[in-house]
Amino acid sequence: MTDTQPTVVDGSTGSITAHEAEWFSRTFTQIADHMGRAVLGKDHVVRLALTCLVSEGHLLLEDLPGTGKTMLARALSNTIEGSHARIQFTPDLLPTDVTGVTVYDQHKGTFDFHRGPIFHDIVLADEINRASPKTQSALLEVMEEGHVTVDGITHAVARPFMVIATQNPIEQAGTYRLPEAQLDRFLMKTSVGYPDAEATEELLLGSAVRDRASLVAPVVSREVVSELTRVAGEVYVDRAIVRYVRQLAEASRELQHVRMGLSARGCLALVRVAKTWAAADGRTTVVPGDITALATPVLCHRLLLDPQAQFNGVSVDDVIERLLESVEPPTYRG
Amino acid sequence: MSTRTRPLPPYAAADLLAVVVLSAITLVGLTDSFAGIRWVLVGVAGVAIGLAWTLTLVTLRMGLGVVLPLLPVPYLLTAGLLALGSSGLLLGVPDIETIADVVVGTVGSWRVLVETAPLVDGEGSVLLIPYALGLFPAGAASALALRSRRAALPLLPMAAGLVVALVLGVTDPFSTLLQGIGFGLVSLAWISHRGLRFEAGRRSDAALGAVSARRLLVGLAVVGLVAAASYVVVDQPDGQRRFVLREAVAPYDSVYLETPLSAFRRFRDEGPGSYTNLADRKLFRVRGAGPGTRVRVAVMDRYDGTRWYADDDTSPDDFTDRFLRVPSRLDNPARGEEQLYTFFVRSTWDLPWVPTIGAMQAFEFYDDYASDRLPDLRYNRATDTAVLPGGLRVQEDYVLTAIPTPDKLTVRMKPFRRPDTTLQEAAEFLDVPAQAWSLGAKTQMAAVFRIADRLRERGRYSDGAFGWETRFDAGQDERRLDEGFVNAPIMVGNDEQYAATMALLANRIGVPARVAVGAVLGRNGVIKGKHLDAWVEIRVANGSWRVLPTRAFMGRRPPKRDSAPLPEVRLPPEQRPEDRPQQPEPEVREEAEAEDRQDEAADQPLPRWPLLLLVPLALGVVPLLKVLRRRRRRAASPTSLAYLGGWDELVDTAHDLGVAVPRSTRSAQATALGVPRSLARDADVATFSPDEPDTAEEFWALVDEGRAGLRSSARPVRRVLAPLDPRSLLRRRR
Repeated sequence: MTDTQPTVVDGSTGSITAHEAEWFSRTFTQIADHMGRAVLGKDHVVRLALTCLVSEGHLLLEDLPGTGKTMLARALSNTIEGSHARIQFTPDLLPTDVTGVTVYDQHKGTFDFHRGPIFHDIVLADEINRASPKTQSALLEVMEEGHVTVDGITHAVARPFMVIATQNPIEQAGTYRLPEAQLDRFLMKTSVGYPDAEATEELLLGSAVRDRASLVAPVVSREVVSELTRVAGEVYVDRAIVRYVRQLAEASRELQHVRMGLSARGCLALVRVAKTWAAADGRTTVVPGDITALATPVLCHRLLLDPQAQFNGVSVDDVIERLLESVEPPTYRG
Repeated sequence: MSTRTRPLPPYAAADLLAVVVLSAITLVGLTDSFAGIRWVLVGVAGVAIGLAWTLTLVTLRMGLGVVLPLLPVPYLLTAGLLALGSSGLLLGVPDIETIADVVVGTVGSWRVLVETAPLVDGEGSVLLIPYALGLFPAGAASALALRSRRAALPLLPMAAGLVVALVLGVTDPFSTLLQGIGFGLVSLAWISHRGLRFEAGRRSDAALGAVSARRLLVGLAVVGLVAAASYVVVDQPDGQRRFVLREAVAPYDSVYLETPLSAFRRFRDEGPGSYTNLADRKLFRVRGAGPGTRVRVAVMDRYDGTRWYADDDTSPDDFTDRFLRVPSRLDNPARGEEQLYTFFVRSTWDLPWVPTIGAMQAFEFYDDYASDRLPDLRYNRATDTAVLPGGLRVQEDYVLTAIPTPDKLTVRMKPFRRPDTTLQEAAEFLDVPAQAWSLGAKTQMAAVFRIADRLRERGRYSDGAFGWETRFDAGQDERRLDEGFVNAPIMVGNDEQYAATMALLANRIGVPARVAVGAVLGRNGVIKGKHLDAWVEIRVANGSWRVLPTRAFMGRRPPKRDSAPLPEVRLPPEQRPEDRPQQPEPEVREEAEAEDRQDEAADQPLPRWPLLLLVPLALGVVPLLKVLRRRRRRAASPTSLAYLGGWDELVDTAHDLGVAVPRSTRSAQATALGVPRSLARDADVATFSPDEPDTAEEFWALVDEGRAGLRSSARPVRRVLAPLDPRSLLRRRR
């Protein structure tokens, strides 16, 4: 091994081949294009959502009403063969409405567990911040550990499993802000945004289609998704990239206006999604551009700003931009 | 016929005809104020309603004491429907809200009219003006004509209406003379007709003499009244312009707006920690304008000893230099073909200045949701500067219709004949450098260029953001420009100080100049903060403003901490201000220069020409080192290092050509350099991949293509000088 021979880190075997990367990229693009039928002109957001799915993470969509959050979530769930459910979060929603409930069967004389909607492959938690903290917390265990414990019995959820939650940044009356611990469970947070002029016109021309998500039929099986996940997990990450992420995390804790910087879980999340992003580009290795491209969706809900920031009109996006400027990306191997 | 009504007298038709004609003449006064035809229809409707209301009440035997005070009633009832276009309740009956709108609109509409650049769109509350000018004079005049036996009395409301129309109009309407003649002729004919009508058959011959004398007096009074009004509303013989309200209202308070020149450091790298910094932020993308197009953000035309600012109503005899609201079409004459420019706002732009190009003809927001901000937009035709309080938010894109204006300045041009005395006095503290640096110039314009050369040669560039350079403060007050810049031991500043000083120096020698901040568009039309420059605009003989570009008076050499202090700027003894000649004397100066040259030659102890032999030798070293470096990089082993070297070669080529390369990821650098991103991708993959690529030849071929592309897009001078530039050899590697 020469001096420039790379060191394999992050538990990766580094065994992904160029052929696998090419297959990954092609499949990923096909799925994204398929979803693009329902979500017009939002290729980047669609790819982010798909990256989240393949990285076995959960996605938080925050945007104004009518921007297509629910459409995106439904399009994603329709694309995958498997079950999906939608939970409309309301203030009176109970934890058992999400996880399931144990009911006494008079005929059998036993207690049976009736599974809640969380036991589907893809769960759309619509307007998650409208539910009480208790109900929100019901999602904590399943999102992090992939199982639900009811009455002392643990029930595993299927794989793939993904929660896509939506919330509205305005109309804060009667809502419960997601606590930091809950936010950290989400791999990414992003917004859909208004469509551009071309997409808007296309959308209006196709106004006869009331439900665009119905245009999306399942195109990949669970097995394919699992295989995509496996391949993405084996993308190579050089030590220089890892060092770059560490430096970003350290710098984030020193930045002005940042009360809580990037955690270790946040760093892991960034590397995880970068690997999927690299594979989606047909590469066998992560490059610094993957980290910078994904920094905003992965970090924006993990950096906690102090009240002075709001007073000064400083947004999380400003802070992330400054963070990326403050740490120079590597150009050499580690 | 009902006993409660009374038929109109037989002469009523003549009176009503006169009222209609005079109303038409009055409304003609608004021709140069409004666009379209709608205001004419509204004005005619006002006349018709006024006449109908009066005729109805007169027919119902009501006297002047009732008819005149009730005139606002038809106005309030019908103005909402006819002028504001409000549907109100059933069949156009106005609701309270509509009536309130009419009252509020009447109070405020005149201000909207006079604060909007002509031609004002015929919509909204401004239409209440032609409506009121139609209804009230016509209603009052017809009532007086039908109810009063004083011949000249009905003329008073019509004359008042005419005066109001002229005062509300523009300074130079085409119709002033026609209106005056027409109004006078019709008035005299009407008064005569009415006078004769009243006298006929009811006065004795003896009484006729007294009546004629009285009519003469009344006629003289009318003439006197019209003369008094004329004194106010037409041009004065001494050249003073006539009074119009749009010149009398208080100017827009542009003076206190933060200028982009004062905020210039926000457009330069201030290091981490500054969240308001815009240096690397994409602010605008301009579509429709080619590379090299000059985008103006703001023009500052006044200096108060503290800073340059954009004044409103800078010159009392120039009526186009106000920040006025913008109608859908501006009356902004310029030669050339109209162009359509679309400005996409990429980041929040919190300064109130709206970037524009050329002479604006129309402005509209790209999307309707921002259109409610349009009434706040103001534009100054004299400086081609637009202001929108609160700045622009992302997606508040706008479309500009404008005529590109010529801006090239040459040394052969003559400056504007009248110097700006206010600025000339304000620049007094720079008198010595102005005179010292312009010595020897044969024309005023040559003096401007000579001063620019001196500034560029003498000065050093720094944004005062890092390390020891933080001592170089921002600002443009007299102290900063004098002791802190021109007469400082090291003359250091950035665009703010250079442009502010250059404009003051030009004004000091009698050449009108002002400061502008803006950007020259690149190929992609993107404007980042760091693309903004400050330049100076010089007014030339034909009255147009031409650009003295930043590079003419500002260099980019950084300051050195240990550089020797500059000598103080002094005039030679023979050029002391008190005995300085008004015009330069070329012959004398040439002799003096010749003597200086002789003195310099005598001071040189040894010939220096042998040193010149070292020049070609030195010039050859840098290209040779670069060739060796390129060969080393290309042949590097393992292959990933050859990839790495290939990318570095590309970046170094860009540095040599003067292309800014961000210290960011390779993909971001590729975007900035305009080379295919696949090149950056290949370099990244080869660098960070565990597997070594087989060969780097293909990659290097692409690198060579990229370098060739960079070279072809560079200016010829840079292309020639690039191989000699040693900076890339000294560049710090990451």
